[in-house]
Amino acid sequence: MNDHGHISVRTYWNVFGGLMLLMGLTIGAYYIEKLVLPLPEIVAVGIALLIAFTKTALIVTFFMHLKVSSRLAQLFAASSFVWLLIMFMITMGDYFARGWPAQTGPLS
Amino acid sequence: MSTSAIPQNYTSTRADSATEWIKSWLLTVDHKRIAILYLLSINFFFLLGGLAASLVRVELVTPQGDLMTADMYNRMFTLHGVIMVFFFLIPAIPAVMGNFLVPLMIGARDLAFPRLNLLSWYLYMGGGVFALVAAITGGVDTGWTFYTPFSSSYSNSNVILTMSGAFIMGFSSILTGLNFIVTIHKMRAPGMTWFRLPLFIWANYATSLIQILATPVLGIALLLVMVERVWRVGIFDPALGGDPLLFQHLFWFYSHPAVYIMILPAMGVISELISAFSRKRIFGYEFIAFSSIAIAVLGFLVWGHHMFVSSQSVYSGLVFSFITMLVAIPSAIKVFNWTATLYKGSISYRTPMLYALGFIGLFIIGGLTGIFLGVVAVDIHVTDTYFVVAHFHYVMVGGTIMAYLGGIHYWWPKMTGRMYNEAWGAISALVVFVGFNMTFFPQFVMGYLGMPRRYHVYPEEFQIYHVLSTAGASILGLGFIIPIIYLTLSLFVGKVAGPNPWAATGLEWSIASPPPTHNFDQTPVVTEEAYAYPEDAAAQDSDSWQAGSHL
Amino acid sequence: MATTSHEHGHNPALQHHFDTPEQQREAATLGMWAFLTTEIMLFGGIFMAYAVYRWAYHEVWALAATHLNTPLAAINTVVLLVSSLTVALGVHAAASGKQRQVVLLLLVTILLGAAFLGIKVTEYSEKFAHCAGYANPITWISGGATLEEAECLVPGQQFHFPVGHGAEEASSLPNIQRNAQLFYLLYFCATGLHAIHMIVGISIMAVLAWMAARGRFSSEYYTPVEIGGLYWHLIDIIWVFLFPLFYLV
Repeated sequence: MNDHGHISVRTYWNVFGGLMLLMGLTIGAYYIEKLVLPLPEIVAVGIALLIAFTKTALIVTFFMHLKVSSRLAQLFAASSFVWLLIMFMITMGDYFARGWPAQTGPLS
Repeated sequence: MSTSAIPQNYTSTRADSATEWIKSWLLTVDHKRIAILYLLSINFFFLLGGLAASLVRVELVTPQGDLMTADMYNRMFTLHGVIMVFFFLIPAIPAVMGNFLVPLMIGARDLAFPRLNLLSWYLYMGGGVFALVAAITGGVDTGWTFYTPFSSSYSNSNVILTMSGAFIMGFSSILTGLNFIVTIHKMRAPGMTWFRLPLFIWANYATSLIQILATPVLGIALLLVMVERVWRVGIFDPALGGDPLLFQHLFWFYSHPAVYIMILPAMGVISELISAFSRKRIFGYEFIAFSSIAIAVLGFLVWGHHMFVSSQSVYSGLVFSFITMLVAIPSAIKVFNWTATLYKGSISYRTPMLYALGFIGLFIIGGLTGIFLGVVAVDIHVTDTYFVVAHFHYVMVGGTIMAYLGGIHYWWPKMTGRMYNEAWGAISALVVFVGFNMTFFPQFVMGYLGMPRRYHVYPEEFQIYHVLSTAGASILGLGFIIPIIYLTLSLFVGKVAGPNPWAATGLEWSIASPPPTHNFDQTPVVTEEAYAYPEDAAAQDSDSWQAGSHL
Repeated sequence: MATTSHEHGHNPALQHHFDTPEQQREAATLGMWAFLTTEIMLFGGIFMAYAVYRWAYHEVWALAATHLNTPLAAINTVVLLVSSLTVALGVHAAASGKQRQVVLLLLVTILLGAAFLGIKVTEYSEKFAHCAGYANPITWISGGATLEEAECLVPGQQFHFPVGHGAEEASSLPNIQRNAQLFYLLYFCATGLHAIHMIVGISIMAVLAWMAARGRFSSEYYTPVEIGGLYWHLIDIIWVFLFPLFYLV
């Protein structure tokens, strides 16, 4: 870290502030959805995931020094998410196409 | 080096007592010693798995179940599968040859994390103990695939113990892969650029990527099944709302790439052998190197072809089938490049080369029948028949074990400093080849005719194929026993090999055999590509040929 | 984790098989990243199961999530985020060679980690107390107030998901007990596995703090702190996903 870039203490505090803000946001969004403005479930999950990914990006980039790490470390960090995506896309693709659990038909 | 004495090396110890000596091996962090520990333990498990296979084959000689009950038979083939897959095929080449050779080939003094390396051997042994205890105390009857809900809700055998064994072994595999990745990235000698690496290193790198990306998914799948069994709750139990197919998705997300964990290092070994015994630069180096990576990546996209008939969506099946075809491309690239390397090479039929040539032939059969199985329509016809059994044995035994034996013979002089008996080597290679084909070719036929796998009784019309297969298996077994005898004998009576008995290129052949503890007295500087055999090697060899010479 | 332990108890000086300290440091960092990749795939399997069942039983699961203790989990999120900050500052202090500060920050991290686990235990024991018929763990021990409405959210034979309030909505859902049990099963698996990682993380931090106190590190050599920190942040990231997925939406 000394030789290739540096993240200042100030940045750490800023990032921490950002994380707390996002956490407030995700809890806030939850209660708003529940009490004030009922959103479709998929939107609610989408918002929560979006916030979670933003928090992850903040932690990975600054706390875990990925911003100033070698290209190789960045590649490995990215690869795990790419492989998760592969697993999710293919498996969920099967479930979407299959329609599991089997729905009972209109005549039953 | 031409004297009869073997110089000080990694095997010599200054231990005063037996305890010291044992400690110097069991607490070693030297990658070469760890490779020897792996060699011994992996071969032990191989023999155990082979014993189970023999009992299965003997039972199948007659159409009736006269040697074992159905239940016993289930436990026996599961034992064979679990031991062979998790404790032999997956660790075999990376843990034995990879451990020994990766640092030597790239000019490093050791792997990046030597103590982690020792830890992975202990994890391997720990996993092995679990599997052995499970086998001794009654065995498992789920098949090595542990399919739910049978494994989670119904089976009365030692599922949890065996799964723990596979789980722990998985971590050994992950740590080995992690070690190799870091070593190959960070420990290469000056001048050893990526395109000067031996292809064995490329293959092991691709394998390591699979190990770290896929193995944890198996780990969590097994963990969830164990949770389900212990607390009688359902994650994969359809009666409790779970989906058994989810287990298959998670399981094959690992276990299909795991097939490439087994075959990729084998392909790396073959690249080395073909080049060394053709005395020729390998044809299409970059293509072979990148095809390893391509196989590793594509291998993650095809797992659903194990699930064509297990109620997976037909649309998924079609996509999986298509991508499965794509895997044939990099595999074929390798085979064509090996064949092209032979062309106009100075070929010598030494024992390792016999195994390598056998590998190419058997792998072609195994690979092509894999394409049959990748086509949904054909697969539905032959699912769970001996056709599948024959196919994967052609790849696993005909591929991985042939390469394992070829590699062991090729690097034996480097590991031990001694030459084995060449005549016996050639004989055993032929015996293995003949025995193998006799064992598994009839299985293609009977599988296509409809003989289902995993049954201990069968209609009489299949008996002729089963008898042929069992006879072949006895020959094959003999072929595995002979090398154990002459290789062991070579330790005491073998000719001293010298640093480079094959006149091969590569950093591992530039140092003494066996290598000194710290591998290289000074860090080597690499100035040329791998396999830099002279252009006119064939002409030179034919000029210097005389009756009785090896080449 | 294993990479860290590899560095432990060893002379900070260069290990024999590395040429330069730089090479050693890069190897350790890369090794840790590769290991974290493995960890992400490990939890990935659980998230995969979550995705499948959430998609299949989304109504029941949304309902089931409301019975988890969201305030406690929110406090835990804050605790973990603060601990991530202290670790990041600790690594920074290590890089600057401020040994006392390193020890202090790592000790604070350990305390926060312990607090997280403490809250987790409270949460779990509340669920078990409900199964035993008591309102909370304290009354369970002292034999006080019992639960008014039967509820047992620990998967197993006794599992009973209360459908009392919002009855008409809930009773229209098929197999509500069964599918809600799946939710709690995955909840216990995911948070349990996460808690195990926390325990490992705390042990690593303890060893690092001890090493720092013994003056093992300097601004030249602090790799163990750095890669131990990476591990801790990963645990934090896992929680960043577990929290909204189980406790909120």
